[in-house]
Amino acid sequence: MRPMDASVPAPQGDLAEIFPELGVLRAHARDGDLEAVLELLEVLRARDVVDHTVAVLVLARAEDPDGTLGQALEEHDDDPTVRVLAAARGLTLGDSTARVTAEASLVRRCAEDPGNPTAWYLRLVAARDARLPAGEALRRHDRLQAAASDHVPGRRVLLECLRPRGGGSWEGVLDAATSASEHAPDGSDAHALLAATYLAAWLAQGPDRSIASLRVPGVIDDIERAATRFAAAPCPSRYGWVAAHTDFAVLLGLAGRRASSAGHFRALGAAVDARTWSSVHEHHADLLTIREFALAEGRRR
Amino acid sequence: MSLVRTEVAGVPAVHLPTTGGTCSGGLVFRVGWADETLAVRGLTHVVGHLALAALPPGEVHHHLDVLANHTVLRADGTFEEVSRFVTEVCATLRDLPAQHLDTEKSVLSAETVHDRPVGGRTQQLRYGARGYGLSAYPELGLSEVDPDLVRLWATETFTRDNVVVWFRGPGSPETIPLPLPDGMRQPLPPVPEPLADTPAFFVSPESDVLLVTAVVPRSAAAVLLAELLDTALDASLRERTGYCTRAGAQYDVRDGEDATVVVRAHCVPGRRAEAVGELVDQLARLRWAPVDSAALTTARTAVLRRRGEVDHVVAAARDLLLSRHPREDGPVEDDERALSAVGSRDVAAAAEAFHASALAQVPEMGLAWAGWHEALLAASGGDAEGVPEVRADRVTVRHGGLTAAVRFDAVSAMVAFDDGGRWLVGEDGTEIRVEPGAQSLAADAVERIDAAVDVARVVHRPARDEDDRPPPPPEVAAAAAAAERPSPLAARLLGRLRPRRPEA
Repeated sequence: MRPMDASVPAPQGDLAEIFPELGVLRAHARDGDLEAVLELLEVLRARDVVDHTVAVLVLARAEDPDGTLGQALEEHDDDPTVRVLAAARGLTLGDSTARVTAEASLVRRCAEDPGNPTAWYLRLVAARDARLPAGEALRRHDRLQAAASDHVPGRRVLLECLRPRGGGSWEGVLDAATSASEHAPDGSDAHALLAATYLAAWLAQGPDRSIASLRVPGVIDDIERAATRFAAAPCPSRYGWVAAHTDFAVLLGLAGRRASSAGHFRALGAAVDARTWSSVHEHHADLLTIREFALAEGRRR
Repeated sequence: MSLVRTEVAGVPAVHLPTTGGTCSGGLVFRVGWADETLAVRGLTHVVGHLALAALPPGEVHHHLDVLANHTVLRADGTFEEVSRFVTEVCATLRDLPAQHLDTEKSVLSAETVHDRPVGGRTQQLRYGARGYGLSAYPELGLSEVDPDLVRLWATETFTRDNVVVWFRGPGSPETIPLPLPDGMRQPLPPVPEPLADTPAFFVSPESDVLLVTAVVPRSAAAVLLAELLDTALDASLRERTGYCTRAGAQYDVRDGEDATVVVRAHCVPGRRAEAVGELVDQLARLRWAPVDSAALTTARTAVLRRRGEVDHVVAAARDLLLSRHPREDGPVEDDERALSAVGSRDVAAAAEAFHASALAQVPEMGLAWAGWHEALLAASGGDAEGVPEVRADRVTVRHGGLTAAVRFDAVSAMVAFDDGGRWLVGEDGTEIRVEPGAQSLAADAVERIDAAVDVARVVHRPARDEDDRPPPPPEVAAAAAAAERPSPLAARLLGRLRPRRPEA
């Protein structure tokens, strides 16, 4: 790999480093200050339910080297939000027993508050991880939609549940992603689901996959159209915006639409979505070239 | 008006006096299908039918209901008609009309085809192939019922010491003659220790039925829980989502202390996983989300509307037989004041009790994800899986790495086909099929089984058509082709069994 331009920031996939308020939230959690955590989560919930879900995921992945956070969660398990937080950590970091305990806790939360998008989102994650039948994932997504009709992270997980390993098909996933994009308003990060799905289907072809198979003109034109609609209005989700731009930047870059890809890298600045970015680590050299060009170009403007 | 505890000819009675109108009345005996063995499953039903068979046709509207541990005989008409019915039924029970036996058995055989047992395999798992677990089985023993057996059963169980008279209407039932024989109060069917590791589930992919049973303490709160579940499941599984064609719940008194709440849903093929998931969420709502007072009122109103005066009196009579003394208002469950006193927390507690003892049969997906335990099903074997081995005290068969066994002293029933097949059902529900025509068995295997199994547990069946029998293994097929005459063993078996077969 050639040396990086020192003036270009390294890709940053940690949302708590990208967004200051998420950094503060995580710092409070690591200090075991649950009162401050709950207060900030409420602020985020009031702003946007999807951002609340993303914030809970950041806390779910937060390191807890001295067990301060874990102890605080146990001590305050009479609080429903704390139980959701603990369940999110159980799903993310726990073993199979912890995941079952987490699901039971989420079943309870969904019963107490059927309109809780984050609890339903986490139940979708639980369905995906337990490889429950696609029908059950769809049911949970229906409940999530009833609580928050434009919960794009939830739709992302649903699309994962519909993949062939869950008994579905890539055609079915693409249909669902296309439909989501077609029905989404301009600016919605749902437009990126099409790019995410093509990328996932391509990666699923294994190490022998050919980059040429990504460069089918009709497909890439569809992605470009989706990207145009995404850019046509401000994204309603402050955090979902990162994943959407990363999907477009990576897919269009790999497909040879370097100018389009650069536009998304430029919008991202230092940020990338960690999951998407790491999934294409074999192609980082090429993508970093585009990114450096884009960021350098951005500085010149 | 309130129920009156009284006596009729020295027999306990409950009476709900009314100032006018028609009269309903009858008898409740402390015997039901859970008192039978699997080998004579259906015997109480036959006795009940015979008790009514001798009545003059059309004289009075009457009805028979054989339940798990009690049997209800009922007539509706004038006071004189109902009184005469009660007396005539008692007289008939003393001397059952054996000439009607074959006709009644035919009627019951036709009925049993349409009977769908409540609780199904979950009850088999909870209780085995005996007592309340017999609800999982058809009336297998009808063919074995002969005049001697029905008289013996009637003498043992349809007695004045095992009955309560019930009455609703004007008039005083105290003077009705009850020509029943003396006897003794029958003990209640055996109840094994509660299952460990509940809530539990098993997957039954061959069926679209979703079934959950749970044993809960009898209470007005549990009655309302079942009613709320019934409404919620019908709305969520059928009406709103179309996951099921039917869905509901019911509350059944089991004995003096406990009741069984049964949830049953028929899933639409292709929507089975969704139905299972939705059920879990609906059960959770009753555990965790407070029921509002309007829903409680609706549920209470529905229970009271459905419960007629006759049901109320019959339930009081039943409770006397189950050693639970009803209050003046009647049984604990449908006491209006008790129902009105139930609050949201009481329902949540009943839902918690339901969850704690729940046993589910699901068509797909299982419930491990929800933290339920996978139930260990009673083993079965003896088809293609393994060859049974006859030991001194049991039959065993290796199946899927495990050994299933039916002890000869714990056989609930053995179906003996004239073609030599023997299907053994252990009291714990274990089933082993011994098929001499299809398995490489020891030469004397069937003979040793027949010698060891109590003849009272044997249900005889004619030889099956070839298509209904398991195919023989190649070596047995070759040997059979070489032998034109029946083996001496088969001839001996047929000779021994035929005299016991009921006449066609």
